[in-house]
Amino acid sequence: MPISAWIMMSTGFTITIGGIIVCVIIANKKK
Amino acid sequence: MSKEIREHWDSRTAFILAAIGSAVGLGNIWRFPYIVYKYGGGAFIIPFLVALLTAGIPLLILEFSLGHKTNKAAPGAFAFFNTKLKWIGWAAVFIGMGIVTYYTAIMSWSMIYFVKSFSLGWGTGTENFFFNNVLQLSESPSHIGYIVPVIFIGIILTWIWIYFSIIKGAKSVGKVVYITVICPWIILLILIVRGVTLPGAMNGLAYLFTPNFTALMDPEVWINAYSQVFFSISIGFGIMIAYGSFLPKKADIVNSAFIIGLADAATSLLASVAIFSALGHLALKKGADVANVVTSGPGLAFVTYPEIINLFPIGAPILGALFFAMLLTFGIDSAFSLVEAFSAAAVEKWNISRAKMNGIIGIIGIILGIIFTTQSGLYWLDIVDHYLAVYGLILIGIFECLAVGYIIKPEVIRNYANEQSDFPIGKWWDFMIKFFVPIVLIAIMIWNIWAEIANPYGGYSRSALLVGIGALVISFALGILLSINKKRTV
Repeated sequence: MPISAWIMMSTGFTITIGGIIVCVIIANKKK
Repeated sequence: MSKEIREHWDSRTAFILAAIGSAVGLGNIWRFPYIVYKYGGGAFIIPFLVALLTAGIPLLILEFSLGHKTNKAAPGAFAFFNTKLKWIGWAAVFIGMGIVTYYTAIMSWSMIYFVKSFSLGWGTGTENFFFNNVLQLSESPSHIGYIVPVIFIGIILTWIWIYFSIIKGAKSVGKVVYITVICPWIILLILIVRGVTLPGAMNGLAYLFTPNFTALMDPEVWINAYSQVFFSISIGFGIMIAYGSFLPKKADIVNSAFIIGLADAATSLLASVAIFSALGHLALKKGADVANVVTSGPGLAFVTYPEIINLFPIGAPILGALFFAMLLTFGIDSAFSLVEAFSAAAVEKWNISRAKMNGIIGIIGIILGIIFTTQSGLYWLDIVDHYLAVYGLILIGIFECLAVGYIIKPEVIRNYANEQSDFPIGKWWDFMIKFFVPIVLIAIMIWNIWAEIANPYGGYSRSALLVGIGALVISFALGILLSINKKRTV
């Protein structure tokens, strides 16, 4: 798989799953 | 108005899982990967995420806020601000109900395939099995033929499943989703591990994710990114308004909307890896190019994927059963959320018990769904889906934005959402709801109508398509009719 494909796939997962993790951390801090 | 005390979610997790369950459906599995492949490969992820952040999540915030502030399902939520807006809520839930009538047929096909998985009962001719053995498809929509008994039994079983899932409203939904959302995620991960370890998998993923950045200059790519987001996150059916209304007074809106939108997108990306790694393996085995085996929609789930299951070196029946169990569990929470959105509104209006109302809805749903169990069911499903789920959703989205943007006023909703949330949204949200999202939705609408004028949808006759338009018109007409009944307030 070309490096550009790896980068796009990783970007998608980083933003979505990373975003969820950040939101969950914020939610737990506000408890 | 109902005198019953409004039920609430047991926990924030239950609410988030229920909303994710509603948003994640069959489209994440069988539509998103194909759209990525078709519109720029990996480059599509950019417009998709932009669409999610600029339209999908703002609309989720809007619907949750409406429900939470008013403590009502969609019609009552709009009526709370202005009784003349009530019809928007009713039209939204009627469109949702129309969708459930055929969604149950897809669930029924999935049940048949789930059972057949254990013996790989579809054989080697998967296309013939689906169209001739399962659907017993007639030659055109006008050749209705007979009711296919096993599909009919499947829709009854699906309605029973829906009935028991929402029997106690948010209380039961909040429990069911721990299984029907978490289990399919686990299955998806199993299918990813299996998929990427198959020979040829990387070729499939390269086909999917290799970016074509010049595609980003094409407006069609952006229109499809926004369409995918709108159609994927269950906005426009009143579901998120009803789910928001079940939140306790002290609850978060903005952060939850971000988690739900991002989880829906992440599930779509995970499904893309599972599907395209398997397609890469199929292409290798067939000695064909990946482009020649790529499909979407029911063709992917019920023809191509069973063909892939046949090729799994070990545990094919189990993996097949897991795949269809995943479709069933991802599908059922979307189905019962649509029914719950209607049921919550109907219980408020007619003040009858939830169990009785759900029973009535189920019986009507089964009767209306009969057409989709006939030999011409697939055609009618395709036609009605095109008008209700595409045009219906776009229209409701436009009306919702205009109602909040120009009558209710966006700052009222934004200030309310901010009071309730872990982190605030800025004035950018007002701009999105007032101008940006309606303009995008109108552009999608014009784009679809333009395409339709050039080529009638699916190559169907204009008289067949009129039935689909009729279903859409009836949904709006029923919404307006119920809103002009002056005897009741909701």
